[in-house]
Amino acid sequence: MFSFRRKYQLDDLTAIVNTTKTDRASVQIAVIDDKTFPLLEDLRRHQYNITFFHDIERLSSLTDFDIIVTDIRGVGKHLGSNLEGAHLIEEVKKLFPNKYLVAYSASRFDATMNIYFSMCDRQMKKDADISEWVTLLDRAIQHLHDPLFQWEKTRQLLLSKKFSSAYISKLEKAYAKTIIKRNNKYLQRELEANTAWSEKPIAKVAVESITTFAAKFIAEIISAG
Amino acid sequence: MAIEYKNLLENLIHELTIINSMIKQSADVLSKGTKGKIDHAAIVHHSEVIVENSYLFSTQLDIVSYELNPKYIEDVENFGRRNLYGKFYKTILYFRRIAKKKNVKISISGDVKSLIDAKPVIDTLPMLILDNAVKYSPSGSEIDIEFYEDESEVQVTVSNIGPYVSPKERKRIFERSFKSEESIKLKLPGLGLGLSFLKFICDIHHAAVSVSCSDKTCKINDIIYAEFKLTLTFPKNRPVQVSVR
Repeated sequence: MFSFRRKYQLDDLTAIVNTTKTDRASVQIAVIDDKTFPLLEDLRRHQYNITFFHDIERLSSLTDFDIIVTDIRGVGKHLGSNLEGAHLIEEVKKLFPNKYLVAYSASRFDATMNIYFSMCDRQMKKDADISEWVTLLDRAIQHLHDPLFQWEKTRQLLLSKKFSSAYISKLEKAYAKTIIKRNNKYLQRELEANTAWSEKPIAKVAVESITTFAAKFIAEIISAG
Repeated sequence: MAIEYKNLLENLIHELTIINSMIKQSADVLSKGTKGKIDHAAIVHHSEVIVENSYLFSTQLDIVSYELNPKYIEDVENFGRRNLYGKFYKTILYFRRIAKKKNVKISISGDVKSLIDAKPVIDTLPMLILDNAVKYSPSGSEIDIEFYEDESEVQVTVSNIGPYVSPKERKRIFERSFKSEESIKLKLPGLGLGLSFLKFICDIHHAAVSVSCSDKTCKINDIIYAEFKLTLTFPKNRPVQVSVR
């Protein structure tokens, strides 16, 4: 039997160009380091909107930031784990899965930290120069507004939480349809239909985050005309 | 393993001490310059010395970090689009002064603008190659860096005069701690880790690496020298991985 219903796929999103230009100043960046961050003023002069923290007392203080840059040692002390920044990374990943996370450290020699570095979107050497930071932050800003990048992050998280590929594929189609039809109800419907969220709260946060991203992205492309 | 770590640490201390002494000397001159005793050209010179040595400092730390935790580069670093020619060009600017001190010229040709799929560790590659080439080139010689590209690959060939490497030794040149008979005679410091690190970087990028050494030789201070060529061929795009999807 033939079906004339259109099938929405992720590939369709490549054709959607987000014409909304995201300038550096409109993206909120948090930098967390117990010591100094030598390039802070240089990066601010490059128009990045950076708030510097020596440490954070609660994870909620990161709610409004789009990009979080953190050292892997010497921070996150208030969270009570001796893993310090590594624990902070783990918790940010759980609570804010769609934020862009950058770990920077001089501890690349420590293999026990590899897993925490891997949780981040990007890693940076502690002695990186200004051009390396500018390249990284510009790419991060680009990724924050890239629906394919955002979906890939969600997909990886769902896979790691052992969701079936059939379910992920269904969600992927709903996501593509949501953006193409510029209507969040398709993704919202999937979110509400799943009854297994209570067993996998981190995955629920991830799907809620991608739903929020989709809504914001749709608003941006509509306002850009 | 403990002896290996001890050697690694001793070599790192040795290398970093030399680099740091260069930085200190220039920083000292510059700090005196704030009292008006230094001209503009000297300020530029010493600033550049500090910059080039701090890059060498980073390269040493990169090698040791890799030695202690090779999985970081393999498992953690992400691929991105990078300009290999640009990395070499930038590194040459830093290296020209060091090379000039040894009366060695560095030239680069074949402006290849194409980007390749590479991990951040690729930034270390020009530093590793040039550090080695300058170290082993005799005074008055030249280092030629030639870039070439076709549809799918970017190739870089680095040629210089260096201690002769026999065909048998060429097969072992990328082994950790390996040094050729003629290069040992030079009694230069270093653990011979640079080329094995270089091979590792090429392997994770699916790049081909080969060396050749001319049979036409000459003798300088009882050391046999010949033209040495190192060729690296990088695919522009990483081979497609089998997806879990």
